[in-house]
Amino acid sequence: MTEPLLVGEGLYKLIPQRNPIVMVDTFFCADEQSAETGLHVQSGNLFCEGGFLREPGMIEHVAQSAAAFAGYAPYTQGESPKLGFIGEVKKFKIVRMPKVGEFLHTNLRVLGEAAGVTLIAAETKSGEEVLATCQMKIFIKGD
Amino acid sequence: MLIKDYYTINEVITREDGVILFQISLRPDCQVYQGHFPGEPVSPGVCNIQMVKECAEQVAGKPLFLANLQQCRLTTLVTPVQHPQVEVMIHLEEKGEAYKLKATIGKGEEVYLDLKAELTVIG
Repeated sequence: MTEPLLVGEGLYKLIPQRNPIVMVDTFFCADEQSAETGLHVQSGNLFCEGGFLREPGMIEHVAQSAAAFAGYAPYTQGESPKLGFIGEVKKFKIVRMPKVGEFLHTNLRVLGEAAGVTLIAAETKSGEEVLATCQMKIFIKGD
Repeated sequence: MLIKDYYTINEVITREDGVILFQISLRPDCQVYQGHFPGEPVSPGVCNIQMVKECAEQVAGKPLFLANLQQCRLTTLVTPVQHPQVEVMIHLEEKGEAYKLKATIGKGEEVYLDLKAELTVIG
């Protein structure tokens, strides 16, 4: 696996979310149309219960992965991240919930962009196993 | 409740058409607002989805797994300051081992979030 570009609180340069709801802790890479992110599932996570990361945590991980992707281009230009909001979640299929200790690796792909809305497709894996797939529309709030 | 202190259910009303209406207060003191976002509390969409799921579990009388969120539109930014009282409407249909859920969060005529999902029984 390639060395990540940003880890831990380094992601704060890309996303406006702060603890206790930070749901992405690794930013591997990005180009104009895709990005790869990750999350170590830890027991203190807001969305963990009974040793598992529950469904909203998986959705939020993808949403914040998209936020980090949206924040990456401004970051490379020395700007701070803007607030992003989920406009729509589609076809979020969860195969199983990850356990505490697993590492989530998410691939994002831009399917389209229009009027401040970005449509992305995401796939979240643990190792080689696909845990969840979805599409999401993200709005980025302007100044 | 997965997210501690996120909301309080004030009243549950069963309508004649089978829809269950939950009258809910969103709590501004929930710790999630410390990070979403600092100085600008916005109710996280996923916490609202979780709240809907927990209402559906109360209707089903058992814990459920959100296996497929087919569609969820978040049309209004919800905040505990601007929207302290909300209504969650649950339409839950049992289909074999699974449930089909249609739900909204809103207030009066306004809809802030609407979703369609397939939930399965845990265990």
